Amino acid sequence: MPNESSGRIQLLQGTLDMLILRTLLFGPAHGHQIAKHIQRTTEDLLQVEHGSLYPALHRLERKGWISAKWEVAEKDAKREFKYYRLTPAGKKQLVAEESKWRKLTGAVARIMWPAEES
Amino acid sequence: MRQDDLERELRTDLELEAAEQRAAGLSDAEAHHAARRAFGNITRVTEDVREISRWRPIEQVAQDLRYAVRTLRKSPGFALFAVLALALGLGANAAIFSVVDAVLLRPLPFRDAGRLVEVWEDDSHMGFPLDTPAPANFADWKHRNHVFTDMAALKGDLYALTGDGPPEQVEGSPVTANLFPLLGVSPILGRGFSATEDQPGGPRVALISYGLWQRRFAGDRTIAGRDIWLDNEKYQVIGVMPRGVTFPEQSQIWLPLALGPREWAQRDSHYLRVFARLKPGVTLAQAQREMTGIARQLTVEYPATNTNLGATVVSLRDQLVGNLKAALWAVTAGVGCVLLIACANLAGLLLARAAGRRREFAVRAALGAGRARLATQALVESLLLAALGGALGVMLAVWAIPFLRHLVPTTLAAWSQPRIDWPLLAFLACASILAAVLSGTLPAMVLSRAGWAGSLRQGGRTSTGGSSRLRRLLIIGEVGLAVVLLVGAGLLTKTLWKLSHVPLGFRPGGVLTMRTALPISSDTPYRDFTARSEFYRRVLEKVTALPGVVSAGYTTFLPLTNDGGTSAFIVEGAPPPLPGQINDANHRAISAAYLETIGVRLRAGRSFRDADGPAAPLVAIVNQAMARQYWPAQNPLGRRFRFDRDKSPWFTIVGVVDDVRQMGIDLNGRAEMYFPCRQAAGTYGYFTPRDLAIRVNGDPLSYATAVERAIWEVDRNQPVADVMPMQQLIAGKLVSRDIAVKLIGAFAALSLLLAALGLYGLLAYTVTQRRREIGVRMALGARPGQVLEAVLREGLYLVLGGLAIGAAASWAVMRGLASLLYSVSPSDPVVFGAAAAVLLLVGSIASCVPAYRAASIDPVTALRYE
Repeated sequence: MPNESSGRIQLLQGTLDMLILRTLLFGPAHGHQIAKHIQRTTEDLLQVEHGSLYPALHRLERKGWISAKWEVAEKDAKREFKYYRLTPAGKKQLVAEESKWRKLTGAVARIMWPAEES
Repeated sequence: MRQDDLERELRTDLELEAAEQRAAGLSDAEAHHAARRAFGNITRVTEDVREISRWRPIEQVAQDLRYAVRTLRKSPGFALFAVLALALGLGANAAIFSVVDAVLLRPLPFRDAGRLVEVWEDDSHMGFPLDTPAPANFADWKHRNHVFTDMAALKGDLYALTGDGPPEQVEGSPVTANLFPLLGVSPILGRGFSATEDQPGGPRVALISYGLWQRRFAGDRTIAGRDIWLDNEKYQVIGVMPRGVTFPEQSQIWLPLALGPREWAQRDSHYLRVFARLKPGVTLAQAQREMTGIARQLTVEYPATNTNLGATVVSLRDQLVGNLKAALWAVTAGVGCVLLIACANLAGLLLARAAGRRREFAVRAALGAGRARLATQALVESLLLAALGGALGVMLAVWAIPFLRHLVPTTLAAWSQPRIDWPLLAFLACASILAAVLSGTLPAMVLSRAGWAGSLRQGGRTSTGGSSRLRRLLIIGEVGLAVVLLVGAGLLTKTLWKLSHVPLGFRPGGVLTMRTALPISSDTPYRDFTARSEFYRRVLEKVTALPGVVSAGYTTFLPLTNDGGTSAFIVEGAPPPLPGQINDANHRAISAAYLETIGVRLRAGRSFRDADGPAAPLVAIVNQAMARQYWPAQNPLGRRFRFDRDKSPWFTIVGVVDDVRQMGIDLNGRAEMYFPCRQAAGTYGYFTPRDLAIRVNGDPLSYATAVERAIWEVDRNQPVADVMPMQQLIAGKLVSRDIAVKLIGAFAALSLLLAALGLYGLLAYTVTQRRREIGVRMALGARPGQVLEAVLREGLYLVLGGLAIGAAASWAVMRGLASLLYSVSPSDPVVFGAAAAVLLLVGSIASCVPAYRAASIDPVTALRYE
């Protein structure tokens, strides 16, 4: 993708990737399910736009962190969906992302509210 | 190949979306559309993607709405307060709008009513700026003017309606045949008057009102052609006027005016009401100029009668609404202020919440929500609150509207009443949206900026500088508006107090009043003076004999029931008056005990007595105003005057009494003369007594039936009307002012409460925010008293700021209220002082609670708390 130097996009990618990986930890899901899950879990606070979700899924697939396959739905055998699964590499990546995020927010918090730590 | 795959994936997603939307019960159109997107041609996916973006805003608003509902459900206290504050503001505005609509906006029941005017004689030098025109003047106006398409006239009168039912007194108006065509109304049944019927000696025909038709004649369609009895004469009903037409005031019956040549020549007898229709393109000002010009010509041609006599053109709407317009605008301005304060209050609360929600918005911004999107989310929240407030406001309006009916002048009451209707709901919808925008814009701006500039770098607690400065400004504004309302309410309350304590010149307490108008113009026994005298004598004898009755008396008109009823007179020994300088005084014919009954004080000489009969010397009593004006520095007792007309005998003054407020509670008593009703010389025609006053022990109304029975024992065909305690008569004169005062008072109280809550909320919030800081300070040795003082000082600064702005605004605005005030200056220092005192008191109370809470912070817990 072209030049994405603005801080917001970086943050968006990193955060959204992590949220997708975390969602797939529960098991395989197709794009719509992933978006709904994030939206519902955060009580509509985080709304994942199609324009962000599908590029992110394809990027993660390219990096080998998730795999994708058209499969028949469990409930409705007549329809096919593109299901995504977490790969072992993706699991490792999720652990790494999570600890990076925790460090980052911890660091921010220490600067912002020094007293809180005491 | 990859592109196909993406398209297919997107399409399945959309398919699911459509199914979910149908399941969620969203609109068919939307679901249908989504489905179409989902099953569309595979090569059209790019367009479908474009469609997604087209439908996005609606989906987003639905999402925002769901999110807003959830957010509000999480803080029910805030939601409840916000909705209640808006409901009070919006409901009050809706209720007042219903009155404004009924009185000022709804079209009159006449064709092109905006071009209808009433024309008066301007007789200001005699104290009658709007006087009823004389027939000859009306005729000259009509023939000489070029500004009106037509002019019509009528005369107000009372009739005894008898036969087919109990005797009943009804207001009726003899009218010129062109009146109803000029107004643009025609009978719904039968026909109107013809020109030949409007001639002396013409047939006795009548039109009746819809109300009378329904009430007395049960809506019988054969009424046209039937005979009815008015003042014991037979009239044929020729038609029924449409519902709501009671023109000019409460008329139920119309007859042809049918003036004869003698009447058409009258210039010194003023008794017509004149209505006209402006020609297309002619303005009110042009008509006024034309009429003033004609009045000047008439002054030159008829100096004896028309000197100093002008003409005044008033639009019909203004005439019907009368002096209520100013009160209505004042109430409207007041209720607008309440809504503004409610909005400011809500804006303050939303700003406070915004400070706590920065992080939430920052996260959303980080996840790709644009700034506009964030602002929309914030606005959707205030729109939801306003919609709920508006819905609750409708209920408030439904409850309040019955109390507001008294604000509609009787002239309009028959056809225009405040009610819940489409214009009202449309107004309420607009007001709700306005309230949402007013209260939501600032917080939305702050929030969307927070989401962007603040991003995740800032925390949830600190950095409230910008928005709390805004909140302080809002509080100052709220306090300022509350001051304006308090001052307005204070001035009007003081006016009402002054008016209800004005010395009236009589004592209305314990007096029962009623009207028994005798038919004298037509062929009845009461045409004869002695028959009338006998009626009064017997009624008074029977009524006075009732147990509990102290005294009873008859008069031409009770005080405050008639703005005219005057006669011109000549003072014995004085030089004849200059042209246009007519000696004129209110003229009342009374029975001996009348003045004593209503409690008018005798200042000199004696009252009338039974001996002042037909055979005795002619006597009169004058009031102090008349004595001062015509016998200055002399003893008026024993002096003589006579009416300014041929063959009038002389009357000798035997007594002087206090001035009575006859024309209005806020108008000083005019010159007035009383004549004994047993002497025909002063008791002719129009001045025949009709009003009965009875002073009793105990509740006046409890005597009503006994008195009515006594009157019907004398004449069972005599209508008895307007039975009421005299106190009620006076209260009726003040009722619209009374309601205006109560409304503005209620609005002032409401605005004070809202401003106090706003102040309390801000201070309590600040104290919570600064809990740690205060804890540190106290740990470092600050005493609780100092903390208390600091918070109190912050609150009082805000109050003082608002007070200064509010006082300045009041000083500028209250001049507009001057026409509603009576012996109170618009900048009355007592009222301003009282408003300031009330505000400081309430402000201190609102500041005390958070200040006390701040002072009782325990440093140890405060430091551990975070």
